[in-house]
Amino acid sequence: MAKIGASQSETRFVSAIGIALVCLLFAAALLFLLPRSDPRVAQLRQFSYDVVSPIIELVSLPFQAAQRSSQSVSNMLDLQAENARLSQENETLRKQINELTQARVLMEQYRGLLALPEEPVLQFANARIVADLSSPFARTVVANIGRDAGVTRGDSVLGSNGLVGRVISVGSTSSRILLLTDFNSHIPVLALSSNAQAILSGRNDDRPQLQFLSKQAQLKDGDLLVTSGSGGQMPIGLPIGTIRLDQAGGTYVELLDQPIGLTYVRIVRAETIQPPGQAIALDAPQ
Amino acid sequence: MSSFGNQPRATSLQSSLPYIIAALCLVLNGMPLGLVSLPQLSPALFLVPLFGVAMRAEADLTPVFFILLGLLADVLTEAPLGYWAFLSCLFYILSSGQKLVLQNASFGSHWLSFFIVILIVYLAGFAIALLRDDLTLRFGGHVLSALFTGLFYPIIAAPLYLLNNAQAAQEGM
Repeated sequence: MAKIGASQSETRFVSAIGIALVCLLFAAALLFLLPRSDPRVAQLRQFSYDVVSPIIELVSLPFQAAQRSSQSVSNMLDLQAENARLSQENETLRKQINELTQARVLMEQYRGLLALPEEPVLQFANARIVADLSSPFARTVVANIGRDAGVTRGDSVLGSNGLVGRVISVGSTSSRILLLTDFNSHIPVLALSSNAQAILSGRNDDRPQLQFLSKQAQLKDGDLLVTSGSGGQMPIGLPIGTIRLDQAGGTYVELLDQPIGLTYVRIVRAETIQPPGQAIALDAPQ
Repeated sequence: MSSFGNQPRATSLQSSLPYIIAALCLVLNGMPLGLVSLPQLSPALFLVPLFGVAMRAEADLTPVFFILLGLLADVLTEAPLGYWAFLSCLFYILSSGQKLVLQNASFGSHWLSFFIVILIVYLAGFAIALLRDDLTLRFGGHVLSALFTGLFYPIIAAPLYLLNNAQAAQEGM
C-alpha cells in the first residue's frame, strides 16, 4: 500500500515537472518571439495598472502619513534655516519677476513687429504618482489620472522644478510616464545661452546625456537646458536641467527634478499641431 | 464537529497563503516609498514564499500558478513579457529538485538552498539579457539583487515554515 502511495507521488512529481517544462517553453516562446514594443503588451500593462494602482494607493496611505509626519517634524526642526533660505529666494524671485515683466513687454512688441503666431496656451492637470516601476528594465512611474481627465499619449510631465518625462500610455484612470532617465527616452532640447540644439537621451542612470550635439556648439557650465519643441511633440521652453562640465572637459546634464521620490506632477496638455498636408488641403482652391 | 468543518478551510487558506504573499510582494514592489534610490536592484521577493510551495508541491498544476505569477511580475515590473515567467518556471524546477535533500533539514539549510537556487535563477536572467538587444542589465546590480532577495528569505519564509511545521506536527498527532 505504501509502495503504491510512493509511486503515485513520484508519478505526480514527474508530471508536475513535465508541466513545468511545458510552461518553461511557453515562457521562452513569449520572451523571444513577442516584440517588446508590441501594442497588445502595452495595452495589457496599462490595463493592469488601471486595476492595481488603486490598491497600491490604498496600501501606501499609512506609509505616506508616516512620511508626512516625519517631514513635518524635520521641517519644524529646520524652521529658522528654512525661513532664511525662503527670504533669500523671495528676494531673488522678485528681481526675476521685474526682469520677466520687462522681457514680456519687449517680446510682445517684437511679436507684433514680426507678426509671429501665438504659441498655444498650455493646459495643466495635476496628478499624484501612485506607483514607481523603476527597475533595471525601465524607468517609469504611474500617475493617478488618465483618459477621463483628458490626458493623452505624448503629454509632457513636469515635476516641481522642471520636465521629468512624458506620458507613454493612457488608461481610463491611470497613465504611465516614461522618465527622462529611461533608456528609451529621447527629447529634443535647446541650451539657452549657446542656442545649441541636441537630443537628451536617458541611460538608465541618474544622468541623461546629450546626443547629436553640433561640434561647433560651445556649452557653458550652468547653461539652462529647455525643450526645443522640435518635432511638435512637446511645447517649447519647458525647463529640464543645467549643463555641467566635468574635469575631463565632458558635459553632463543635471536634471532640475530628480525623478526618484516624485510625489506630485503636472501633466502638460499641449495643443495638437495639424499635419501640413491637411493645412494645404484646406487652403487649396475649390 | 466544528473543528472538522473548519479543517479544510484552514488547509486551503494555508496552501493559498504563499501565493497571496507572493502577489502582495509584487503589488507592493511598485509602491513609491521614495526612501531609497536603488533602481538598479530588482529583488524577486515574490519568489521567496514560493520556495516552500515548490518543495511541497503535490498538485500537478503548481507550475501553472508559478508561470501566472511570473507573467504578473512581467507586467508590473516592465520586464519583457515572459522574462519572469521563464525564471519562475526555472525556479520551480530547481526548487522541486531540493525536495529530497531538504526533507528533514533545518531552516538554515533551507535558506542556504534558497540562496543557491535564486543565484542560479538570476544568472539565467542575466544570460537571457545577453541574448536580447533591448535588455541592458548590470552584472553587479543583478547579483546584488539575488543576494538582497536571499537576505529577505527569513523574514518572509520563517512564518510560513513555522506554520507548516505546526501543521505537520498536528497531523502526526
